Amino acid sequence: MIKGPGIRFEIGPFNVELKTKIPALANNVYQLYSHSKLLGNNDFVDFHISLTQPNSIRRFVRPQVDFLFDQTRPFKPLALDQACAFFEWGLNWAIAQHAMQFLIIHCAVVEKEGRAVILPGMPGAGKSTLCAALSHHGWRLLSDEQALISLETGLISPLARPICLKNESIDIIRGFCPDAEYGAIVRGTTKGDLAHIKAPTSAISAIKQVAAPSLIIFPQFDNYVDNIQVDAMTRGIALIELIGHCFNYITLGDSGFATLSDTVAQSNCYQLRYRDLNQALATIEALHQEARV
Amino acid sequence: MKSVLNQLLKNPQTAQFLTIAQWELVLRQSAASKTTGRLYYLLTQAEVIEHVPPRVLVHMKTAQIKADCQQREILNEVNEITRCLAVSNITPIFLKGVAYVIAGIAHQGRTCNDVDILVPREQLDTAERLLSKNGWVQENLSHYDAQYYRQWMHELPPMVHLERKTVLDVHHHLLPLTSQVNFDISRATKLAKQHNKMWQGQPLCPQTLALTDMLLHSACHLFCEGELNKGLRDLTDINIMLEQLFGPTQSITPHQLIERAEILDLDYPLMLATRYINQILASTAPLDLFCCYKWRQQTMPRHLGLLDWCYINLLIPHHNSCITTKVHISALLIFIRSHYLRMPLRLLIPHLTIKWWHGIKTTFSGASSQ
Repeated sequence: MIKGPGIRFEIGPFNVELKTKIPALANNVYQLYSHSKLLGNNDFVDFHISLTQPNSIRRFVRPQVDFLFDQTRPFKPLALDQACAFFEWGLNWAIAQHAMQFLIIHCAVVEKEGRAVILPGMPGAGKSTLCAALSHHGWRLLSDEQALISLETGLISPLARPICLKNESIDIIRGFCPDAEYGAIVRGTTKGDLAHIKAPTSAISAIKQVAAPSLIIFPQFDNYVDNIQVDAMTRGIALIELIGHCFNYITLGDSGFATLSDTVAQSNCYQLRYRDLNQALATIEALHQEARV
Repeated sequence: MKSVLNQLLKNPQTAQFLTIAQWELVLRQSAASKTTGRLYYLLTQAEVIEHVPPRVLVHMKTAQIKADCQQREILNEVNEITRCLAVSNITPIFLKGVAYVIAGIAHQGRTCNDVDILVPREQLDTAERLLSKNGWVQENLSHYDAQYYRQWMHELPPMVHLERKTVLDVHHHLLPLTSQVNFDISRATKLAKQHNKMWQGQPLCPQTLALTDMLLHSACHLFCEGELNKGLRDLTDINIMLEQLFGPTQSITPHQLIERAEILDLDYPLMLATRYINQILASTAPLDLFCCYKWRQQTMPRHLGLLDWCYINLLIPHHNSCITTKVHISALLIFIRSHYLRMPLRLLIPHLTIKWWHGIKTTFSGASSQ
């Protein structure tokens, strides 16, 4: 268990301290983050997180878990068996709120040959599924959830955190990526059942390697399309779409606009409607090769 | 444990000697007291910002960026409210945090939780009607609370904008009607200041109190309040205003400020504010004169020693690393003092009894509904 001083570990550009006495969460974190760099007491910590059980009578009936960010409690408590998901969600929030050195887009990002593919999508669009498939088939995982685009350099910093799969995707990816390592399955959350798969070791060992944006693809999983559909988007439309996917575009003001428009200007933009993962991967590969020039 | 933040505020030059672990604690303490953005400004002013390690600086800049964004939004809110009330020729005076943003003083790195405005009491009903027509609604309050607000308080119950979720406090006085401070509101509003710098070419410019009165109101607020979670930040606000008043473009002599404070019956809060700024912050303002209370030596209060003890204990970051038993005791004493100042005992005792009883009822009904 992660008692006392807690564990301190590196997640991309951030150092995190986690304290908890919840065994299921501790085990899950040890498993999913086992390749992350552990930090010593003299390393600077950005986020102090603890997950605790509220001290009330309820702990005996329907036990709950609190997410504490240092000493503030940004969320209402959740059911105790959702602790593993709560840590991941809370960390997403912590990053989105406290890292204004980046423009942060809600999307999956993978990389090959130094060039990044940004995959924004509404929940349910299938970006995590696609991201899991790509990162086990020749691509490097930068993030399943957030693109961190530096305001200074325009380059994307990897987070390489576990990928969050929901509902049917859990089994789809089990079949498609047999080597993926699964954490605990959390049932009955507001987003349905979910499971995290560990970031591939290749992604964690290259955690300092940033990538330049080169492709922006808005994916949409669709059970009713026979063949994959690829539609080019103008950069103007892509820019407008992307604003809605940013966590901190408005907060950043002018520098957010400058960074986002630079990102779009140097990328080819598409919409992708897919059912078959193999087809989707082949198409993304082709678009990636095309974007080389 | 000691407050590293206080150490840094008192003596910014120590920035060069802090270890990374101490910086980490500074950030946690400043986050707890909402002073991270302010600290960035103060360290820049003190020319020690280059001693801040890059990873720490990122957090300070983040706080600064968030404050800037909030201030842009606040100014839009100011325009909305000004236009909304102008329909019935009501010119509100913006107070506290919003006023600092409008006036461009003591706003650096600062966020505010709500918008505070002051309207004349006789126009209060009209203002409330206009605001609710424009999307400001009152939160659900118990019958007792609503009644209490209207009968005894200096403000309406907080209003929330339906779409933008901004919280608005509409005041008709700066202090509760039952307060022991004998404060004549018309004396302050007479000198209210129109701000047209940022609103050039616009027909409606927002109003705030004049700088001296803004300062005195801030001091009065800080030292009548029962909670000091953000006390440290508020103290830096007052100091920035003092430094501005007595800075190179000195617009007023110390004696004029004292005179003004006496007219408004706010000399005591001014004395307390300067006294603690002198002890806690690094200030360039000429504080000696005020904090020794020389101008009213004969009435030097006997319990000042106790107040000093309480405020020095409380003007710290309210972070776990600084909270000791002394802090708890001081907090309780100041809480009692603030209620005592706010209303006479004949009102206070029934009020606290009723609030306590409602609290018990909610605890039990809340527990059974879960």
